[in-house]
Amino acid sequence: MLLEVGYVQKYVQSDYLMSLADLGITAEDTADQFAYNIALGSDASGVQKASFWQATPGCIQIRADLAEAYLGTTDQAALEEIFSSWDSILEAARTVNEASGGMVKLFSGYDDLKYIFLNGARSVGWYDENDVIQVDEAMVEYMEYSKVLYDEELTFNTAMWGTDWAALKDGDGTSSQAALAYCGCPWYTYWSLTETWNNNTILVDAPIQFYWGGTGLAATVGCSDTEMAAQIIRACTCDAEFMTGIYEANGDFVNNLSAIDNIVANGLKGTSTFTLYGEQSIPEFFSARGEGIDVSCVTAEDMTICETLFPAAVNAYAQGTSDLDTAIADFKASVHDTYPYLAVE
Amino acid sequence: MEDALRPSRTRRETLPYEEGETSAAAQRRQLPEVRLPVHRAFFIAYLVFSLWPLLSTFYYSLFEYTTRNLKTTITFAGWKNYLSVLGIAAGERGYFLSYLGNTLRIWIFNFVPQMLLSLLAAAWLTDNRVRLRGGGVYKIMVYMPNIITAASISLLFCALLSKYGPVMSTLRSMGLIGENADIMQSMWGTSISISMILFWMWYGNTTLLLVAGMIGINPTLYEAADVDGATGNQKFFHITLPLLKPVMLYVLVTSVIGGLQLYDIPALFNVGQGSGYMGGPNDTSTTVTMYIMRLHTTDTGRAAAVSVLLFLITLAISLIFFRVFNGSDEYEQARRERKRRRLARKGGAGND
Repeated sequence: MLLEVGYVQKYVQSDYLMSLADLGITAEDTADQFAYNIALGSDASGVQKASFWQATPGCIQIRADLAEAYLGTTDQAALEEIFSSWDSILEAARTVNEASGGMVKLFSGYDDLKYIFLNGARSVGWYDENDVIQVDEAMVEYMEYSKVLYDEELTFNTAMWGTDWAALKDGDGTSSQAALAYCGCPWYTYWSLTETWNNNTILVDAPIQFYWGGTGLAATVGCSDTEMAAQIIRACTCDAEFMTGIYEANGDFVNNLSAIDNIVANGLKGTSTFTLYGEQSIPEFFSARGEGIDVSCVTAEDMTICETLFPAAVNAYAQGTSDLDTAIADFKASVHDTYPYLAVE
Repeated sequence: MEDALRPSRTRRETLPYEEGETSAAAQRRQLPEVRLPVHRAFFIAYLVFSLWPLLSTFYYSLFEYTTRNLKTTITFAGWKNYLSVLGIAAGERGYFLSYLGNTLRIWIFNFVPQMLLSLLAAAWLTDNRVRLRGGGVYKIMVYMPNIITAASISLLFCALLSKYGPVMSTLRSMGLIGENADIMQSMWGTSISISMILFWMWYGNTTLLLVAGMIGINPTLYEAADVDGATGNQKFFHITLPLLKPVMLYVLVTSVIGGLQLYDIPALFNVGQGSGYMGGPNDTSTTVTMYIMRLHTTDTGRAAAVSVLLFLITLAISLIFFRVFNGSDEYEQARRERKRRRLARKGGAGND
């Protein structure tokens, strides 16, 4: 079965999946995978049950023409500098907003930044070992940052995947509004960016290394054909040659270190016609990222909490509907309401 | 010639009568014994599809379901689910009450304008003196929104009313609203929008029902009123409305039931991260049925408890309506009339 990263832990920690070892896939086979992907697919005792064919380290995507106009540079190193800390990002947001008279803003919404914080900045999970709900300091930082962005009108306050969020990718900055930067990752870069961004995108690091997404393959306990399941999983997630083929077919940044090295070294191009601005190449950029991502705070309930319940709290605080303590209290109450076995205190 | 003038009594004369039997009884006796088990079928259907699910929902609400990592444990919990849903138990927040408030708020702002406009439209459509042209076309147009699925309508209006959508952009460029004005971020904006969508969808239905009710009123009453010099208003308030009570009762009760069980429109209208389980800005347009849907995948017990509570509230409001309408003069008179006739029949039969 295919397991979206948001709920992969729920299945991995249940008794319904066969471990990879039982399928005949050993640690040797998965040795080439990115470490964080192995951790995401393993349960508490380290037994790997789900295997990912994609690696999804995060980045920030900047539109080169708008960067030229409002940030004054398209040099990747200079832009890296601007996006290296939250304070410098805030400064840049103010600059862009003023220079464009509000037609172009740095980000489409503070909602776009959530994965950087959720998937990169957290050090503790949403509840501790006694099942008591806790809110990581980084999450409070995200709420405060969102509030600043909202109060100073530095974003368009869209929600991700909405129609207005999508429309802001194609604005031209003078007659229609546009967003200069979007958070991204490999699949986003070739799949979600529109034609306006073709040959017009510069990738830089976010202030914190994060990951975003991925889909795991796993076999269920009742699997009727474990041979076939093992073959599929081995081919898609462990076999360097096959995975290079996946990259060539659709540009996926595959979860195999040697395949990536091969792709970068030989400059292999897939069938995708999307190119980055200048000399940047997607696999080369991401190959240097992907190590050192910490996923120890991922829990089984992450999908609902991170996608629905926590953004509701962020919106409530950022827009001034509640103060910080009320927003956090409401958030904890809603998590408890959804998962009654997690206590508020 | 004589045959044509003969009254139809001839038929009756050919029936063999028994001693002292009335013609009605004789006819009944002559009919073949066709026992249509209609009553039985209705009760069986009601039992299987309405009563049994109701009782088993109540049964499920007495258990606590905990789903963790795909494993569900079921323990008997008594009234615990009700207490936690109402916020009475320690450490629990009464989400049910706030969602009930949301539901009632959305329903009231839909229902009151709907009834007023439907009464007006129905009065115009059935008034002989107004003689509305194109009444038939109007009835069709008014009913059309009801045919489109609520899900499509909800998504359509969500796109139309979104912050950078056509409606808001036009108003912004005309300078009528501020830069940051956004219906989706305002509790009343979202609430009123949902109410207006519901109103637009259902007022056609209500109008046609009221038209049907008004057509059933004896026109000689209006003529008598005209003779007495009654104005249009007086006729409406003293003839039409009182005689419309049965239809009004039906419309009110179905509106209450539909309104309290509202799900499809708020679940798609302003749902932020697209889950359909938490509505509007900061959970202020979530309705009770959205809460049930949210709970039922992981916690059937609490979902059942919320369902039972919703049922009790709907029942209470419906009973109030029945009491108010059944206590009216017309109903009292009709009831007394039926009682008198029943007694007369019994007394009459005994006398034979």
